[in-house]
Formats: sequence, C-alpha cells, structure tokens
Amino acid sequence: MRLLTHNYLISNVKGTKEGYPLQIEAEEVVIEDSPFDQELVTGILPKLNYEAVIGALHQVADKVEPKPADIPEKLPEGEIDTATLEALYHVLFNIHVIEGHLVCPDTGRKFPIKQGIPNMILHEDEI
Amino acid sequence: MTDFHPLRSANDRGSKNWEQLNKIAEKRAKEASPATMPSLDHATMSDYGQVYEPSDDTYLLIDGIQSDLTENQSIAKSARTILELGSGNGVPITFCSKLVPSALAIATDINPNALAFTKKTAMENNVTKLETIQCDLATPLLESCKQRIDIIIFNPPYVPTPDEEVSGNGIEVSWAGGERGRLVVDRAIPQIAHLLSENGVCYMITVDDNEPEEISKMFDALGIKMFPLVRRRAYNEYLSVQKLVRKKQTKP
Repeated sequence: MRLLTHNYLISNVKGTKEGYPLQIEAEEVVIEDSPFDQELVTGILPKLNYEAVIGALHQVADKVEPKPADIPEKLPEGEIDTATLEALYHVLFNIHVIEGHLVCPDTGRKFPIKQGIPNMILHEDEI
Repeated sequence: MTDFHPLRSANDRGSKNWEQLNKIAEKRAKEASPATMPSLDHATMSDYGQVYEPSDDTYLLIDGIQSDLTENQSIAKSARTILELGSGNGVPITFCSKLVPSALAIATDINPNALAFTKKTAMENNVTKLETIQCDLATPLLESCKQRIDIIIFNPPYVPTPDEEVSGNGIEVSWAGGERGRLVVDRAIPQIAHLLSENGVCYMITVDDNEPEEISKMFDALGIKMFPLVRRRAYNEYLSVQKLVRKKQTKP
C-alpha cells in the first residue's frame, strides 16, 4: 500500500464520525524506486488531503530507510519546483507499507495490511 | 444443453432506440481490431479454482477499451486514476494501464486471491503503478474520490442466479449475480455515478438478462449517460460493454 492510497481510504465502520485519516501502524515498509512521473504527481496533488500525507509520513518515518528528502509541511501555492515534486512523488509512490494495520481514528477498529494489501472489509455487525 | 440454455433473442427487450444502439455496438465490435491479451504466464490451472479465468466477457471488455481509448486519445492522455471494481484476474485493469501512461491504477476485490493474482498479472506485464484494496466495490474510497476517477472498469457478476448464491468471497461471487444478475450491479450504480470524474468514462459489462436499458435509466437519473459500446454473442447470451459518461450541463 502506497502512502497515496492511504490518503484515499476511510473507515466506514458503524459508529464512525469521520473515519479519517486512518492511523498507520507499520510493521514492514519497503522503498521501491520508480521513474518520476511529473504529469501524474502534478495531476494528483491538488486533490490530496495534504495534512494526511504529512501525518502518514510521520507515522512510517522510523521504518523508512533511507530517509526520504524533506517535503514541505504545507503544500506550496502556485507552481511547485521540480525538486519538490520529485520528493513528493517519492513519498506518495515509492513508500510501500507491506505489513501492519490501519486504525480507525474514531472506533479504534484495526484494518490489517498483509502483503501490501489493506483489508477494509467490514463484518456484518459493523455495517 | 440447448433446452436448458435457449438463446435469448437479442431484441426481445428494450425499445427500438436501444435495439438500434445495440446494432451499432455489434457493428463496432466486428470492425474493432482485436486487443492483444496481457500475458498470463504466471498463472497455473489451480489459480483458476480461486480466481475467474479470462473468458468471452474479458475479451470483449478489452476489445472495447482498446477501441474506445484509441478513438478518444485525449482520455488516455489525461486520465490520472483508473479504478476496477472487482478486478478478478487483473486482465482488464492491466490492459487499460498499458494504454494510459500517466495514471495510478486501483484494483478492488473482496477475494484476496483475486487481488494477489491481479498484482501478479500487472507485474508480469510491467504495470507498476497498481494498488490493490480488499473491499466491497469502492466503499472505502467514496468519501475521498468523489468525481475523481477518470476511468472505471466493471465486469460485475452478471449471471442470473438465486440471490443466496451471492455471498462469501470465493470464486462463486465472481459470477453469481442474483435475480436478473443485478444484485451487485444495482449496488454499484450509485458508486460509479459518485466516483466518475467530469470527463471520466466507465466501461461495464452487461448481458441482456440484466435489462441494460433499465440500468441506463437508473444512471440517467444520476446524471450519467450509458450506451452500448461493443456487443457480441457468446454461446447463448449477448454480451455488451456499456460506456458511461457524465452528462454535460447545458448552460441556460
């Protein structure tokens, strides 16, 4: 699960108010470098919840080796320079949570991540 | 066999107008150049006990995607997010990703074996920007992805079966569709309408038993236009790929 995907996921468990952002409890994180895609990252950025990106990065930081280049604490307005875009691309696309949990901020419900696949399926009594 | 599976006439349901659209889609399918299947060299026969094996519906779906994205290059160029609901063997989303260079592909399925298989299919074909989420349809994405998905692919379980067969997370749910094959389709309609971006497009498989013209009316009420893109006979049924786009607001 990339950090980008974490940005999209919400907990729908019964009793949830916001269910967002999910807290990441990472056990295994890998970095897989991939070619920088400027069009993709530029297209996706304006629609992101940027605060949740920063939060997610902090939550996995101690498992990320080597340490990624810094990204701004707030999304810059207007045109973003290429170095920053590359750093953002790296955080969103190259950091993969392989094992761990996503935790609903309201209910504490834990959604397991196994082999990089988050399991968001709810039991019947949770809907 | 034929006694149990009589060929349903292609035109026994639907209006004259819908019949006409079906004829155009049949012609388009005949004229389309056949899509090349992504490699499935990683698969073993035992996988197909757990994951839906590519079949006529899969082939028609990728033929339709290829034909439409070739004709509408601007969609392929501008799309940034592809979503497949129930990705199964992963062939459609892998195929589509190859035609759309700058996009993140998100595959969902309730069957974990299907997602593992989808990942392998993508990797086998050098599609790297793929994410997999185990969930029902796109439920955990709805809140954050409203009108943000540029290409949606949906090959639903469309086979009419008793409703009770539509449960669990195994191979049966890849095809068992309940009454008229509509149990899962009908639940997906509001989700697709919610997720499709301004200039987005959705490709969805139907058989005539699903009463696609009625489905099109349900989408129409949600601001989505649906029409048959390609159409082909497979054994005793007619399969169609329906194309869905957001209706443009006409300015007063």
